[in-house]
Amino acid sequence: METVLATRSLTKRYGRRAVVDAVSLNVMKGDIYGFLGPNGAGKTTTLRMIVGLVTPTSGHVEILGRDPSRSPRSLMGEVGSLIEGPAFYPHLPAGENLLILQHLRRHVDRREIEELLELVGLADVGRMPVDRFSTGMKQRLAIALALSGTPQMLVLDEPTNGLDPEGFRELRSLLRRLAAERGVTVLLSSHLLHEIEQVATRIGVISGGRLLVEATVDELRGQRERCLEVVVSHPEAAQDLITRRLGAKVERTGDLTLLIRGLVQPAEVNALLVRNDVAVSRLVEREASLETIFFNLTGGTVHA
Amino acid sequence: MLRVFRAEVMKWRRNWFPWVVLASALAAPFLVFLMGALRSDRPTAASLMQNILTFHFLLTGPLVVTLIGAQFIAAEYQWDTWKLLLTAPVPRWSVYAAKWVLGVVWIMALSLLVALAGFSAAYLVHATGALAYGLWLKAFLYGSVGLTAALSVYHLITLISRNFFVTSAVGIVAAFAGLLASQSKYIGVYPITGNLLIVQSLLGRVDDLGGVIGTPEVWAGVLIATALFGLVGSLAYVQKASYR
Repeated sequence: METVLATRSLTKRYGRRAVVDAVSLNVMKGDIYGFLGPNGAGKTTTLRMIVGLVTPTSGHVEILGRDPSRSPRSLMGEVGSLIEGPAFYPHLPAGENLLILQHLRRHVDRREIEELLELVGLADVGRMPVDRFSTGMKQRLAIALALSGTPQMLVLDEPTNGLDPEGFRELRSLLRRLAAERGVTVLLSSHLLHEIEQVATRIGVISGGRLLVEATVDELRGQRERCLEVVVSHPEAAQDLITRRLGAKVERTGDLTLLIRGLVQPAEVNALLVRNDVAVSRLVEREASLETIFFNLTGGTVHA
Repeated sequence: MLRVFRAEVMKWRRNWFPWVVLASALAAPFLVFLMGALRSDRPTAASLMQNILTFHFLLTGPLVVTLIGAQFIAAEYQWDTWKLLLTAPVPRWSVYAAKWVLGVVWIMALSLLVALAGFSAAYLVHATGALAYGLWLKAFLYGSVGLTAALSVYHLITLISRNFFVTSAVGIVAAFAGLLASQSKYIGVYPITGNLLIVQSLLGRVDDLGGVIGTPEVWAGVLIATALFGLVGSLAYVQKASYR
C-alpha cells in the first residue's frame, strides 16, 4: 500500500521540554487515520509540523515520499488542512473565500467552487458573509477550503470542535464519501475516542508527546484483553490470594467487586477462593473495551 | 506572484477598511477646501495645493501609511488566516511581496486621488491663478513613492507585535515627531519630512535650506535605507515564521 504521509522521528522541543518526541506516523493511501490523544498530548504540534507551520527540532516529514522542506512549495498543494479551527475572511461569502484560496493554490476553477459548496452542503448560502454562518457551517466551509485544488490528503485537527451530534454525523459521512469517492486520504485528530472509533480505519495514539500505538481499528479490537469480574465476601483477602498465588493483576472496582486481568481460568480462581473461605457470589468473564485499552495506554486521559 | 497578488486584492472587498483609509486620505483636501471656502478672499490655486501637499505628506499621508502597514498584517492575525497563507503552495516571500506591492499601489493611488481632490477644491472655491496640473501630479506621485518608505517598517513592527494598535501608536508618534522635525535642521534626514523636502525641491519651493542637514541624495538615501530595512526584515520574518 502506498504511503501518502510519513513522519520520521519527528520531534519538537520548546526549551528542554519535548512537546512531540520522536513520532513516526505512517498514513497509507485511502486511510482515514485517527490521531487520538488527550489534550496537550502533542497532536496539534505534530499536525502543524506536517503542514509546515512549525519547524521540527529534529526528524522530518515525508509527503508522497518527499520531504516538503526540501521540495518545491507546490508539494504542499497535495495537502489540504484545517488546523486549530476554521480560518477564513469573515466579511466575504463562502464562494469568494474559496476563490481566494484557489488563487493561492494556483488553481482557479469556478465550477469546482460550486461543486465543493454542494459537497459540504453550503450550495444555498448565496452571498451571505461567513461571519453570519453557524459553527457547523463554518466547519463545513473549512473542509471545503481544505479540499480546494483537489489535494490527495486532508489534515484535519479536531474538526468536530463545536459541532452538535448532527453536525458530527454529517462530517463523518462526508469524510467517508471523500475517502471512498475521491480517494482522499484523511488524517484526523481528536481527543474523543468515540469520534475516531466511528470513522477511522487506522488509529495512532499519542500521549505525552510519544506515539504509543499505531494500528488498524480491527487490530486493536483483536488485542482486547480478557478479564474476570468477581464478587466476593472478603475482597482484601481475595485480592491478596489471587495476586500472590496466581500472579494476576487485580483491581478493586467496587465494594465487593474485583477485576482480574491476565490469563487466569475462572475455575482456578473460584477453587482458590473457596479453599481459603472466601465466598464467591458472582464470577463473570469480560473483554476489555477499546475504551479500556486507550485508558490503559494513555493513563486514563482519553475521553470516551 | 500575480495570483497571490489577486488573492490579496480580493480579500479587501466588502470590507470597511478601504473606506476608512480613503476618508483619512481625503481629510487633507477636505479641510483645506473648508478653510478656503470660509475665507472672505479667494485663495490662490497654488497656495491651496501647497497647503494640501504639506498637510498630506506631513500628517495624513504618514498616518494612512501606518493604517495600511498595520492592518494588512494585523488583519491576518485577527482573522487567523496566516495559517492559510503559510500552508499555501506558494513561496512565502510572495505572500509578503503581494502585501507590500498592494500597499505601495494603494498609497500611490490615494496620493493621486488627493491631488485630484485638491484640483476639485481649487475649482470649487474659485481659487485664483493658474495651476500647473502636470507638475502638481508629478509632485504628488513622487511624494507618494517617498511615503511608501515607511510601509515595510510598519509591516515588520506588526509582524513582530501581531497587534494593530502597537503599530498605530508607533505610527502616530512617528508622524508627530515629523511635525517637530519639520521645524528643525533634521527635516531632511527624518524619513517623513525628508520626503516632503524632496517634493518641495521638485516644485522649486525650498526657499531657505540654511543649516538643514543633508542633500537630496542623502534624503533619498535615508528613504531607501528605511524601506530596505523594513523589506528585508519582513521577508526574513515571514520566511522563518512559525505559527503559534
